[in-house]
Amino acid sequence: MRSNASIVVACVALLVLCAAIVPSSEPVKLKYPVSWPTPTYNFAANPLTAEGIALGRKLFYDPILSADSIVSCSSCHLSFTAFTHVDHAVSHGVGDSIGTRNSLALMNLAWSKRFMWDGAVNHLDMQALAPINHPDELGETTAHVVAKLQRTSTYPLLFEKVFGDATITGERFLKALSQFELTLVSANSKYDRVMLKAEAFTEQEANGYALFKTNCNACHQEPLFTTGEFANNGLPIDSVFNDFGRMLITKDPEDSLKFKIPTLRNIEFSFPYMHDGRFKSLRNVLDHYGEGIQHGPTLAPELQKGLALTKNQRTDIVAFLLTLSDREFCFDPNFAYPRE
Amino acid sequence: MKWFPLALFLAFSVLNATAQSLGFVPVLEDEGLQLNKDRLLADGRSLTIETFKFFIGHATLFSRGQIVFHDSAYHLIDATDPESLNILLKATQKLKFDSVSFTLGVDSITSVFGAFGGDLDPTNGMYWTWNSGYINFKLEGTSPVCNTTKNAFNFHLGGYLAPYRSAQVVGLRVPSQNEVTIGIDLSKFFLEVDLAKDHTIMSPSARAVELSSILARSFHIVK
Repeated sequence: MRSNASIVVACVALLVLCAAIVPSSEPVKLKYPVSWPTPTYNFAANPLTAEGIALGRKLFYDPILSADSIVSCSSCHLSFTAFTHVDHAVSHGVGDSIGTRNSLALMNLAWSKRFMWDGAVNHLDMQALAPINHPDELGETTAHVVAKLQRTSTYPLLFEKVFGDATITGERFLKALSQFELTLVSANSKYDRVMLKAEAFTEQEANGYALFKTNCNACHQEPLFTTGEFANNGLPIDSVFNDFGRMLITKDPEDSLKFKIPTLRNIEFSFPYMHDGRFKSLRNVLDHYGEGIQHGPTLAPELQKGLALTKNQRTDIVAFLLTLSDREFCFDPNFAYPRE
Repeated sequence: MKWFPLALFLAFSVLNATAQSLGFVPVLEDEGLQLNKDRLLADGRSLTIETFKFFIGHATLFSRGQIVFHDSAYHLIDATDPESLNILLKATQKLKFDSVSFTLGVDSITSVFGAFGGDLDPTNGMYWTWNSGYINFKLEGTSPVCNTTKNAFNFHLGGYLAPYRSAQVVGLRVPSQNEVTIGIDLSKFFLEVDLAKDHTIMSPSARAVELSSILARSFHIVK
């Protein structure tokens, strides 16, 4: 009897070992230009797999994430417009409730250090918690979303393929969403092809690029077109939203009126502009940097004198900014609604 | 069958491991804490505690100042879940120790690492969604002295960024034995807090840090 018992124990131990060794899905390596910096996302803690990315994509487009089963992540982050809510100053969620900020375009998230306009979220995995639990966005609780997913006939099997068993947890749900979001790499604009010497700027675009490098590049740094930091870009405070930006998170007066410096990639598609969507066109934005700067103790040092740009120079900069559009990214079938 | 000896060895190691337990006992004015039961405090205030949850992590055992055991895991202690009140530290041998330390709350490195499962899973109601970070300590209830909706008090203490880092390190001397029982006496907390004015904390703040440090001093060895 004794030896039988030890054989049983040994077999169990062996099974445990095998389960740990056998890979459950197909590994994927994130593709990005060799000249780019190393991503900040820790892929070792959430290794990309084909199955994980597909699951994240399904979740991204599934309104089961919302209280009314109508709103999904993609409602405010549309693939065709670089994953933002185009033509809405601020975004809206369940029951037509209106938020207070303009949804950010989603791309190159593996390089982002802090998320949301005020940097409230410290990690891509944790970002989805904010809109899911916000009463004016998806209006749900994460625990309830996870319970709903577990009750479906499809999701437990998909989670099993990615994570080895059919139990859906908050961690697995968030990591799957991250996997899809991490693949949203935009690096194939005309600008990128010019940098690779595969294409050339027009004279106007080249002028715009030169002006960009002297006037804008300090904050909208290449190749990601953002430093990932926060700055007060001289917008007068909106009297309706009364939004002090990053200070609401850090409670530090030095962060008053500072907002995330957004990437300028695909800026053509992500109108209107600024955290509250107050500017309808890129021209409005450049006019703000020319004559609209409001001075204050936290104003970005680069903007103390405004940007002295002639009308023609502004037109040239806009022409350059349009070279940051990546149509292949916006119409990539791997990023669109997953038809089964 | 070349795996067989290894498997046997592993199985033997598991069976041979010794568990050191750390038990937590919530106390209020020398009585065991009971949830959802009205209590009259010595100073005449009455209150009902409905939620009492907190994280402890990095349980470490010392002998004469030297670390003899460290468990980097976090554990969610929840007064509604008796099993959670007892933490098993899996040591490979029987340990002799004279003191124990742990963090009350989740440290900054863990707070920025991304999603975790188990006790740290963000579905456990101990993670802020609008502003990343764990709620290190959650105490909710009602008291007639609270001039709030439904007389509720809500203390959600957390924050991992300077100057509002609220995680605390607790160190206690213990008699060397297998079972360590640690009391956390909420009396000190309620002595400090004037519930009529001080009843709601739901974001990182200086007050959250102060109250966390009072709570850290409320732990004591029962046996």
